[in-house]
Amino acid sequence: MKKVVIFTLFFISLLWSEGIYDQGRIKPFDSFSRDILFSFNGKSSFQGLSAKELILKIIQDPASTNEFELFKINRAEVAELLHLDSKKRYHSYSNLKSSRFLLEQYNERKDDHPVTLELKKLYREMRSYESLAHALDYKRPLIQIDSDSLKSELGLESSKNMYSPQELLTKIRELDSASCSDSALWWRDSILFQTFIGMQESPLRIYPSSEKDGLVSAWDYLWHGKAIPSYSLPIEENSFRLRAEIYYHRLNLPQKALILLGLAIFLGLIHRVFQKPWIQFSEFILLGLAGFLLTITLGLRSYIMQAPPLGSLYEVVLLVLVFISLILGISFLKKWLTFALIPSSLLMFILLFFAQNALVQGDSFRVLPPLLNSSFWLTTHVFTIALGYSGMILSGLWAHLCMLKPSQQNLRMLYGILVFGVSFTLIGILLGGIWADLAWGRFWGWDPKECAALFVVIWAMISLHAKAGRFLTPEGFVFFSSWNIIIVALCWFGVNLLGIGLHSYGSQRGIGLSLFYFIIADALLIFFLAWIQRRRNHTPIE
Amino acid sequence: MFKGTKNLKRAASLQVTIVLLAFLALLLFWGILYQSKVGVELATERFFDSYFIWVFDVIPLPGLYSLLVVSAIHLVLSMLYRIPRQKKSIGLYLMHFALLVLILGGLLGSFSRVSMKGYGLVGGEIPVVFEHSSDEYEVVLNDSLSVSLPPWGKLGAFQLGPYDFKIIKSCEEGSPIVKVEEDHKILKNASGFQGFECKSQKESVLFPGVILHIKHREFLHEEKVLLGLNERRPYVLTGGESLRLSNIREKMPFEIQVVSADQTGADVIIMSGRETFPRRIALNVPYKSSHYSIYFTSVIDSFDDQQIVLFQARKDFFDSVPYLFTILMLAGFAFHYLIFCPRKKS
Repeated sequence: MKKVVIFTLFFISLLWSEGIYDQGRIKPFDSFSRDILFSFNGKSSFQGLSAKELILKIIQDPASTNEFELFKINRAEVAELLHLDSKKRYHSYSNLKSSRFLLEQYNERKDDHPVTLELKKLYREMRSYESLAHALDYKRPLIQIDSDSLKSELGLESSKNMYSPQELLTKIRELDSASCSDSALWWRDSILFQTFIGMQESPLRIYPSSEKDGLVSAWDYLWHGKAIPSYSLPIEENSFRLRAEIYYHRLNLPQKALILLGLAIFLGLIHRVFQKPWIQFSEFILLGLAGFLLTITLGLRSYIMQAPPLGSLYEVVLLVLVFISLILGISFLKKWLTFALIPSSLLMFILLFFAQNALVQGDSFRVLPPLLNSSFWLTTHVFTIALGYSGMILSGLWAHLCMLKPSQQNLRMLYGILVFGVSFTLIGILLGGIWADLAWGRFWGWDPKECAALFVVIWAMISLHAKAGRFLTPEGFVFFSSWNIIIVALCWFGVNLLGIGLHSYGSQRGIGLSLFYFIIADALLIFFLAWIQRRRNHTPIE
Repeated sequence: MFKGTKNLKRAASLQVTIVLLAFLALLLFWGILYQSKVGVELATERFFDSYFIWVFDVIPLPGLYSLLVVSAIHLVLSMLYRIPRQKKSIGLYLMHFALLVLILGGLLGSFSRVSMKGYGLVGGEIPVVFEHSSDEYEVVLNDSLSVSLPPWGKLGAFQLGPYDFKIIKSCEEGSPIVKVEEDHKILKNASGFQGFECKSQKESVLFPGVILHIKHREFLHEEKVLLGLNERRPYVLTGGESLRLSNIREKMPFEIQVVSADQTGADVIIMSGRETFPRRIALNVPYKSSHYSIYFTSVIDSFDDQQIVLFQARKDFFDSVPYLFTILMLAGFAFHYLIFCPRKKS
């Protein structure tokens, strides 16, 4: 009964404080749980339990969760290797535990074979589960001592045989090494070792520390011989941000923006049929609202991380979407691109869908690496590059539209958007170079991301020079520019797949396949539109 | 003459521009893919720090330097023969001139740029030492006079101060010998070794070393000395002068003494001329002065409980070229697209 009360008090305090120190920052338990569950199986809930409820259950009662089929195995050969049912996708900790030795062996390997990588990932997940399951072991009566003489030597209660590390630690610290028995010394070293391991591996860093940054675990208190507080102290300066992060995840504004974009596409198609101005206006409003929600998202992220929201690829994609929606909004009001609303909404939908599904892996809030920690230059460089890439993407989109509706005005618009895009991309590159020179001592280092950004500029320069020299017909210029979206996608996301260089902070799993499908689809669309253009035998653009 | 001008105009044409840009794009694309295969440094050395890329070690394709040289010539010709000489073209001239400045500055910079490694003891009185990150070595007398060592294995003679030196043996990978027979004994060595042998196979303790015969020109005193690269203390000659073998050390226009250090940076005192001031050199916060950039790498514990701070440094006389390029390019953009942008015909 006493144990139940203690555990209940602990978890009430956990829910109240909500702060946990993980991966370099204090985050809500909600985000911590989501990240872990996502790493196990890519989901945000399990059998009606939210991520938070599940993780609490693992911590509180691991015996009941050992049979939960939490771990996803993608490859059948991995399941076969571990002697598991290859027809099942999800497996429990108990299943994995029986193949622990094999997982440990594969974890030591250095090759990049997909099976090895998945086994390594499984091993990490299993260890992560274990660290949760054993987080409260310091309170659990797991250590059996039967010898009455040893109990007496350690000053333990003789009425019971099972003790917790917390009880034993208090006693063994009082031992006089010179006079105590060998078995007492053995227990002392064993308990200290167990405490040290617990301190290293415990995920529950919820107690304030006077010495280190962030929070520490109960094991840390035990290691230093301090009494564990009965509940963790609230961290006032973090409590609003922690709440903001919880609401950020609950509101899920990007998901709502995605729905709005979908509705905008639908309305655009309706408008094509009925040609009613109010339908088109509604489409524009939905697009604007989607942009507004993404702006709020960026603002929230900035408040939560206390830094400009430009430190991850996901945030930069959101920024690009905001820019695109802004440019489209202005263009619509000035009646420049009214017929471009459907394809623009579609492009934004695809980009946001890609960002939400391929770029967000669990906890999307990551601490910026120290090498990139420079607010002013990070903001200016990334902001400008994002603006430039937005322009390049829009120029590619506009080129697609020009193939459907060729005209002098559309061609001039394409030229203008392209110049806008390449100008800001170049300015962004220059700002990045200045930042690199000030921070790392060199303006240009031939980093893959730097080379890729330069490639975008050179690609645009080829088309602009070819147009200036009249080596490309207007149709040729349009066809060349229609590849801009693919070029930007390759240089922006594709380079991250290489996983090398100083910019590999943007490296994320799951991008490769999505990128490949997108490139194939857009390439086919370009050839199709070009074919339509030739078949229609449009009057050439003079 | 007329035919020559015609050829020059052809060389200045936009067709050549497009071909050069296409080559550059191809080089970048190929270079990025190669970086993923062999790493950034090796790929940069092969593609972007060379005149030619040798495919199958036989077929030469233009590397970045070749393209830049051709591009520089093309830019000059473009400005002379292609770009119209009118007010509206000021922006174009500025942008092309900016590129020319960048190319020439980059090429010259790549030849003159020097990378160095520095190390200093925390709380030590000796200033931070910066050595060139190259395979060149020098013999230094009294930390003031120095002479570059000839290639390993080559014998030779040189003078430093009042001494005549003769190289008896030198090897890049040698093994010291603690005790030798009387005839082969090297009498003097800062670490107490009596011999030195060049090893052709790798063993556990190998370092560059040179055996010198030293003779004082006035007092005719002679001694045979072994100088090794990894010796902590310099050798002291009979006359009291210090002698050491080291990578070529940079003579900086300022001195840096490390006061304290942690994992993110070092607090130092910088002595530059008559000025002395404290400064923090940290990750993302290098110290830049007189074409030198000094940046913090790490701090390590040495075996005698002292902390050693490691720095990296670059000397680049053309470090302001990118800034000049930026200013010219932005000015060119402003002139071309904003000030003299094409107006709509009525």
